[in-house]
Formats: sequence, C-alpha cells, structure tokens
Amino acid sequence: MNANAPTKTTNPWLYWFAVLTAFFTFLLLGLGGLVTSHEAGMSVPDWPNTYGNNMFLFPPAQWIGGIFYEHTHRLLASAVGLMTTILAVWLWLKDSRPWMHWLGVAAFLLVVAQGVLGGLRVTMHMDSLGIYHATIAQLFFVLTCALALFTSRWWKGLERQPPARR
Amino acid sequence: MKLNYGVKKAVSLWVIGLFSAGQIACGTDIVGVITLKGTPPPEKEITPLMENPDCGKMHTTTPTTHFYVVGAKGELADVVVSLKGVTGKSTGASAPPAVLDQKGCLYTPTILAIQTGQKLIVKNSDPCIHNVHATPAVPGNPETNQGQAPGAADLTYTYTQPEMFLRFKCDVHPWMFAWVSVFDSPYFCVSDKDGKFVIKNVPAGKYTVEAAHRKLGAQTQDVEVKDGDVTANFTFEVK
Ligand code: HEM
Ligand SMILES: [Cu+2]
Repeated sequence: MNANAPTKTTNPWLYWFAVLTAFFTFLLLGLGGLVTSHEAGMSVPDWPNTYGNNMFLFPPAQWIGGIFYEHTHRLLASAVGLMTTILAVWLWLKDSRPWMHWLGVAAFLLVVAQGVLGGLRVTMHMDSLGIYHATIAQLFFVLTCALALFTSRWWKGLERQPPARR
Repeated sequence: MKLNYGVKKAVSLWVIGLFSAGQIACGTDIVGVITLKGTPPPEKEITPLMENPDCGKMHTTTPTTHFYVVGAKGELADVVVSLKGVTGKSTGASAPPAVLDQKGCLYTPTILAIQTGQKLIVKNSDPCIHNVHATPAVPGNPETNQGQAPGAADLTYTYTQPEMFLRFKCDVHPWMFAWVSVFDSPYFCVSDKDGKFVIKNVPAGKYTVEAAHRKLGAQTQDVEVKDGDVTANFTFEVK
C-alpha cells in the first residue's frame, strides 16, 4: 500500500450501508433481549425450519405468543446476516485498506457463527449456549459500529493527518 | 338328565374356580382420602390467555390456575400418592397409554402420573399451534421440544427413569404447564375431586405410602398390607 497516496476517496454509500447494518444489529439486540425476557427461546422448536416450514414462508397468522418474538428475531437476524455479507463483499472489492477487507470477513464469520449458535441453542436445548449467543451479539454489534466508523469521512480525515501535527 | 347334572357340576366348579382366582388377582387395595386444612392462596387469573386472540375466543370467562383443587369439605385433588421405594416393578410396557390434551390453550389434566415405559400421548385439540416442551430434571429422561400444529398427529412420550412432577410446558403460551410424575411400578394414584385415591392390587407387605402435592410438599405414612383393604388418610395444611 502506498502510504503517501492521498487516501482513497470516501464512499458515502458504503458508509451509510455500514451505518444501516449497525442500526439493524442494534434493533436485533433489542429483539433478542425480548426473546429472552419472554422466555420465548424455545417457542419455535425446530431450526433452521419453523414448524416444518421454510422460515421465510411461515404464515404471519401463526406469529402468536412466544413465536412472535422468536420468529421475528430469526427474520431480522437473517436480514442482518444478508447485510453483513453484502458489506463484507463490498469492503473486499472497494475499500483500499487491506485490514478493512479482513475486518469485513471477520464480521461475516462472526454473524454466521452467531446464527448457528442461536440455532444450536434451540435444537440442543442448551440454555447455556444462550450466554455465548448474548456475548457474541455484543461483540458483533461493536464490530458493525467499528465498520461504520472506519468507513466514515471523519475517520479517513484522521488517517490522512500525520499524527505529529495534531 | 345325567348329562345335565354333569354340566351343572362342571359349571359350578368352574364358577368356584373363577371366584377364587379373582380373589387372588384382586389382591388388596390401599385407599384413602386427602384433606386440606385452611384456606389456600387464591388462584391467579390467566389474563394473557384472554389477550391472545386464538386462545381467548375459546373461553367466555378468564381461566385460573389450578394449584389447589379443593372441595367444599377440604377434599384435595391432584395429590400424587405412591408407594415409596417400590421400584423395578413397572408394567408400563403393557399398560394402556395415558393422555395429555391441549384444549383451550390449557393442559388437561395438569397433574398426571404414568409408569416408566408407559406411553404418554399428547394431543392438540386446539385450532392453534402449540410447542410441547418436556423439561425433565432426572438424568436419563431426555429434554424434548416439538411443535404440534392444529390437527397434527399425536405426540408420544415414554420415560425410563422415575421422576416426580416432570414438567411439560408450551413456550408459545407461557402459562401452559402440566406435571407428569413417573413411577417404576403400577402402585400409584392421583387423588380425584373427592380427595379419594385407590392404589390397587398391592401384594402383602410393609410399605411407606407417600402423598405428594406440587405446592404443599409430601407426607408419608407406614402401612402393612395383609388381608383386606388398608386405609391411609392424609391431611395437608396451608401455612
Ligand atoms: C446476527 C445474528 C443474531 C444476533 C445479533 C442475535 C442476538 C441475540 C441477543 C442479543 C439475544 C438476547 C440474549 C440475552 O439477553 O440473553 C438473543 C437471544 C436469542 N437468540 Fe439470537 N441473535 C442472532 C441470531 C439468532 C438466530 C439465527 C437464531 C436462530 C434460532 C437465534 C436464536 C435466539 C434464541 C433462541 C434466543 C433466546 C436465548 C435464551 O433465551 O437463552 N438468534 N439473540
Ligand atoms: Cu400452547
């Protein structure tokens, strides 16, 4: 990497997409908390299916009681998973900083691990996995915020400034 | 005539034989009445049930919990009575299945008892989805969680280990609970609405009868079964 090259034009679309991903993750954390506080974690007994249905085809009329929290949590998590994948690919293709490529990959791996962990917690009836699921959730949220920060104009401005002159 | 006499004799002998055989098979029963002294805490109204559109429309009045099912004279139902320490006597494999139904977003009954190896059939009589989540505490009895859509096939459970008040719950409707006690012998009974219980065909011997209520705890009484029925009454008290 040529350190002297005037950095890399910022990409406002990429930045706002990263912000959106972080925001959705924030909502997902809240919804996950609702799953736990309503003790609804086991109200959908199967995974990745939902009562034998493809989860995206599970009729909304049946999103009742505890299922509402658990199922919407899974749907929103799927959206966040998809957004994270897009973000990782986008960073890989368009961000000129190699370490950002790997940060994107890390986010992708973490969101996959988180989703699988959530599923295993259901299928293996292991409450204890919920602890790791909750911990990784926080780590993942911080990571999405970091990605948004690192793609911001403000951050790139900092990168351009030689530290001595600050 | 001769033939007729012979037939009569044969029949009477057969009747006597049947009678004595019946005597042996009938064995002796341990019977009793369970009484509750004092006023139990009031049952709670299950308001979230009425707020759920599917469940609410199946009830005209708000259902309550059934922790203390007590008659006018203190007759206490839903007490699980068993012979303590009698194990390895299960006839569960050949016993008819027990049935737990989901109706109006409630379990019926909420307290029941089965033998190890006996089938427990769980039905969904409701027009809505339930998940049947069994949460045993004794190692060897597996935790399971299965969905049951309206009209779906019955679910069947068996347990290999004795366990008191093994909990079934529905996470879709967080007020739904049932407690199934599992015994390693056929010698148990859940008291009825008259507070009565009968433990049938107990072989002669000395036993400790245990009466267990989910909220009121357990009591024991020693009895000896010789000839003729044995009575063991229990009185629980609310503190
Ligand atoms: C990016 C993906 C996900 C994130 C960030 C996330 C986050 C969370 C959070 C913050 C909680 C609350 C934890 C607590 O307060 O104890 C939670 C609970 C839960 N999540 Fe997720 N989740 C994700 C994906 C999934 C998926 C795909 C499933 C699939 C089944 C799932 C199933 C659950 C369950 C069952 C609970 C309840 C845990 C319990 O009660 O012990 N999650 N999730
Ligand atoms: Cu239910």
